[in-house]
Amino acid sequence: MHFEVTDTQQALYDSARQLGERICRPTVLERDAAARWDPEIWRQMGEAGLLGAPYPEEYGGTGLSCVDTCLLSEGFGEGASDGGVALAWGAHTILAGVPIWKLGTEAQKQRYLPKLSTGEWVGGFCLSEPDSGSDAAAMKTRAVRQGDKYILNGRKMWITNGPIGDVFIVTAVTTPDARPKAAGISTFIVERNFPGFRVGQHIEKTGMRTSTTSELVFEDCEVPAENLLGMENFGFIITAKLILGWERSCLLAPALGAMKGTIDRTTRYVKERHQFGRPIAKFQAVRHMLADMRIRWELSRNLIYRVAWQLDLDGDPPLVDAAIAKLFTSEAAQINARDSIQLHGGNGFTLEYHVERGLRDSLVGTIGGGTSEIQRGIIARSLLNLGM
Amino acid sequence: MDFSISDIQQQLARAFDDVCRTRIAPRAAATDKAGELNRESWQDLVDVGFFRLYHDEAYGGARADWLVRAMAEESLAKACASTFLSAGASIGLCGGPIQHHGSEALKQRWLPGLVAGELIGCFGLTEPGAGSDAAAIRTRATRVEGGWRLDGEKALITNAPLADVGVIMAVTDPEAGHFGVTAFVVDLHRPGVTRSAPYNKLGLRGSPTGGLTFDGVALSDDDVLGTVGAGFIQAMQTLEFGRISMAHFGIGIAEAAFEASCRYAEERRAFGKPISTRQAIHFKIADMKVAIDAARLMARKVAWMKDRGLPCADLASVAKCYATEMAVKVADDAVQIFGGWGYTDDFPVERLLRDARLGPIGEGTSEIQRDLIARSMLDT
Repeated sequence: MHFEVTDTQQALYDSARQLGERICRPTVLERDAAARWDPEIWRQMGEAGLLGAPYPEEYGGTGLSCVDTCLLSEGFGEGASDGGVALAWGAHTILAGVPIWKLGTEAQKQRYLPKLSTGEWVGGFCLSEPDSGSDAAAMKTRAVRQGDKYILNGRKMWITNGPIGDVFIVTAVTTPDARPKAAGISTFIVERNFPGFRVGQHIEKTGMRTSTTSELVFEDCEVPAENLLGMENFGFIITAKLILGWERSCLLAPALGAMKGTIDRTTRYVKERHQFGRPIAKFQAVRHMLADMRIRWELSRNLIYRVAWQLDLDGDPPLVDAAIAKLFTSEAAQINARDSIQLHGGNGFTLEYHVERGLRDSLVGTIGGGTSEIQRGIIARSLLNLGM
Repeated sequence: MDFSISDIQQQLARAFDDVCRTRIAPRAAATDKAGELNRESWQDLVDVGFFRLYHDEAYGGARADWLVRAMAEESLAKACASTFLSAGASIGLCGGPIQHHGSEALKQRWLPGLVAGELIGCFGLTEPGAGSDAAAIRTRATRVEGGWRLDGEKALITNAPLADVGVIMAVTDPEAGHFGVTAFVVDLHRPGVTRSAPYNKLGLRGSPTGGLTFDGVALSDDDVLGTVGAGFIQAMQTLEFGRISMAHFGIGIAEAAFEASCRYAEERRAFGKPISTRQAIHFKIADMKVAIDAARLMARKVAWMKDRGLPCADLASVAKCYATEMAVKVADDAVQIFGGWGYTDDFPVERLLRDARLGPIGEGTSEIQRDLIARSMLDT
């Protein structure tokens, strides 16, 4: 057992942090207020190798291990202080690209991964629907085979990168009477210009506003049969199993970086801010709150890197450890975000100190990618007979 | 990064766990009731080589790395927290500083007995009026011809009622502050040493705690641990060891409460089905698992840093603070899951809750840990 971060790995982290500081941080307040997506930031992330971080180099990727991908995205998250862009990265690089890389045919990999790696194309992942979130298998979107095509009908909801995406992983029911229902769901790669695809309502959000979110609508959408990803009827089960570990490590790593950034920001603030004739950093109540923020960050970090390390072993997906990491980190990030506002006092309640945005950005953590309640269910089911 | 445990480490850990599980754990309830150190469990520790893990071969030991010790400590704390506390105080808090700072003569004199489990050691820092503020101790060692004379009172000392030897902190130069404290290795069977009756405690009742009074105890220069004036620093180093150990204490107790909760929740039925099927119950159990994993990984990281010789005082505080507080929470939730039965001694969880409660106090309170963590963040 060792927890070593090598010099090379540290350099990877530092370069991503500096990139985030340079391309995101200067404009993040304005983009958050305007809910504006910035394609130039995206282009530079592609240039730096972030967008194709884990894919093999033969597909234009950077060829990093999962641990290294986490270090890269964690560093970026710290430097950027921009939850929305980090989320867009996760939806693109992890949720859209990883299934294509791991489950796709050679032709699919050749077609999509290079464009995803440069950022020329933006990717997204479509699972939730207006009436099915946690109960994902209850989805209604249908895919019916017709000759050399599948015809998709339905709506997908809360899709990160929806308004700007070029290619989406879309789950749809292919065998409606399958039991369990999950065994009748397939996964497709859908391009923006396929007939019958359109972007639905844009969704205004409380946080992650520097990323875009929308509904996607499929109306007799024609998907070539070769765009089926993996086996028919097993797309959902296999994709979900594959993606969960990645989602609950790499996608959370930027949140770890953001936690670190918030701790450092708050540490500086309490040293500078004077009340009662001395820096508030001299008051024990302030110091202990900061200590607790540090404790939560340290614990979260170990849990996330354990998942990343397991993914690199390429064995069974670490579903329970991933649920543990996701649950703990997303809740820790929220408590830290709230406490950082408290330590900033009145200033924390204003926009310009970044910490209120930190809280808004953190709120999705316990909802997206499986709510905290779903994670607790997964963990409990691994321990107990729940009679279901 | 590598989160795997090697085969050899696993084998060693399993051997300890087997003894703890099959021999020591079944006696834990009776040990708590008897309010005395369980000599059979102590002998089991001797037989399985627990004490040897901490010391060199020259003194009868078979030193293991921190990682193996971490796993062994967890197993022992899970089986019987009282026995864990007494064993740790003897071999770690007393044997540790002797090993690190003692002269060869001191080591030869005391370590073989401690390692063989024939002697019981204790660590005397706390006084009636000085706990967290360890520099405020008043026990005095005065220079006399041919050595020192020890006068004063120690309180809340684990193993004091039956210890043979103690590492005792005393002021040798009242003007010198932190540098005026010296550690002595004191034979507690000497004239002038008296012991209080064991305190009646909330938990850990199978690990006797008491006070020591020194009334003109004669010590020689050979009894000085390391150098005169180095006692405070030695004490802080010892407490860092104790802190890491207390993290394992918390994890072990929490693990016991968690396992008991899993079993009970599946067996106990209410409203026609096992209570484990209720979200309010199995979410609590999921949270226990999360907290234990978080604490354990932190403790493992600290053990790894220790094995590498990396400075980790702040992370030791992180591990100790979190692990001991989560253990109280986990044990408390376990009592809740057991309902009325949890409040009785028909089941182990009430004892686990009482035992866990020492965690956020001993070896530096949670408040002291947070002070230390904050200092590492703010005052550098």
